[in-house]
Amino acid sequence: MLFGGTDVGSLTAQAVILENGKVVGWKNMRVLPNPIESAKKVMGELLEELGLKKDDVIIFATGYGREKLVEAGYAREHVSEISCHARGAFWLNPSVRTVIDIGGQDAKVIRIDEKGRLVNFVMNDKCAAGTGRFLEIQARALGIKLEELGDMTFIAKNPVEITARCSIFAETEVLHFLQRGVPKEEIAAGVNRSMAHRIYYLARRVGVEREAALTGGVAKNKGVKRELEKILNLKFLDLGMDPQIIGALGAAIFAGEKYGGK
Amino acid sequence: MFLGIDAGTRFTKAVLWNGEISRFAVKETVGNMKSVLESITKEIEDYKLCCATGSGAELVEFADAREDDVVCLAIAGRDVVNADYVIDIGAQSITAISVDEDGNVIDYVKNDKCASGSGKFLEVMSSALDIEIQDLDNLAFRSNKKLSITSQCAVFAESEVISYVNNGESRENIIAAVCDAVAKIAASQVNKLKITGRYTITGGVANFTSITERIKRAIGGDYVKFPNPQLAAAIGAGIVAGEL
Repeated sequence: MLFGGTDVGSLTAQAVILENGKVVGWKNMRVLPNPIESAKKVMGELLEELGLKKDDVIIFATGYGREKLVEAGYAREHVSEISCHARGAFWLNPSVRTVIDIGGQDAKVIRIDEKGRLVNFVMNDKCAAGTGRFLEIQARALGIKLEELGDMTFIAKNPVEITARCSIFAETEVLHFLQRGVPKEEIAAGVNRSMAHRIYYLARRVGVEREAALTGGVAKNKGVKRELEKILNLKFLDLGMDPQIIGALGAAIFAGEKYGGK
Repeated sequence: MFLGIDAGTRFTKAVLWNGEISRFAVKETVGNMKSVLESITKEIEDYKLCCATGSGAELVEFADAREDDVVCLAIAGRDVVNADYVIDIGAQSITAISVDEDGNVIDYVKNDKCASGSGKFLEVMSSALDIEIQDLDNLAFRSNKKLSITSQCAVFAESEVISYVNNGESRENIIAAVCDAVAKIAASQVNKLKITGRYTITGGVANFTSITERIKRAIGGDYVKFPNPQLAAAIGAGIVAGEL
């Protein structure tokens, strides 16, 4: 039996397909203006790649527009992002107790128990600090690509200190450092460290267990990941999967659990 | 004659004070503070004492004294318009102050950690709409449809503005929604103080009637207009210099 999950975020959308409890394919793309269309497109392209028809798959939706995808008859059911991230990470690695998910416009820290059940979570979607948008703004101010930002932590010698919490004020600081001729990698490393600090303050509100996983688009920024590991004094568990597809994977797992029987 | 200088993050203001404004100057705070101060004080030499305030007060080397901007705003609010409360919206902060009868600070709340509702917030939105910030009042006045911006975060609010632009909403209606958002943010900040008396609104953002009118509507009560509101802290510093 085939089960699928879609997850639409603020910047990217993902689809995952499971067959007999194994991931057979996944896809990640930039969102379209409409979240429903984003979900249909990313899942449509994945089905086509795998030579499957939509009717072969029972789809669960998470992320933006998930209720509407059900109303539109595209997805069978919808599940919250928090549950999907917890489920996806635990399924990949049952020792995971904390999931830190940093997306384009929000950040979540989710605590789960030894059975993978949700214990507690904390979320920031009110302030751009500590989300992917913060990094995007600073990368733009530095005139570098978002993908280049992370690695600069590893070549910097004396990272600058970004004192502002606010993304907008931090951007002003970044521009001042540039004007003063501070090398880009030192500023970029400071940006990554500052981002890690914001996540740390969020995570502190629910606590982080040593068995933690970092997911979401920002997990691909190695600099932020390293800085966060240093502050939390742990090493993130390897999930062996693209960290951006965990939500969609969780949705597919829920579909399998509900409609797959035993 | 006493000189008050308010070295703000965005503008530096100087007021020559003798019980009223004798002369004043406003310059953008860009580049070297020394040259900003030189250009701003070029025409103002005949003063006895000088007091500096604002985030760059330390950089005003020739000042005889320095005073906190909250203190200066309270003094100016009481002295100039006899206000019990001062709401100041600057380039990077929103401050609400309750003032006693002698112009001393009783209590205050300040947000300078985040751009929410500040002058910077307005600049970000204006630039997303590709309008000059000076045109804000004219445009907002011509709005004919109610839109709303729900985010307090300047970054997320900018995304909302851009979505409205992409959906073909007019700049007039969008900027009116931005003014609503600023007023709402300012009012919620102010409400932490429980305003019961006469209040005034100062800071560069108070130059925009579209904003002050909306704040008045949100707060209600006894409002008094501050003449030349951008100069309030500099006036307060001038008064402090006179009392040295």
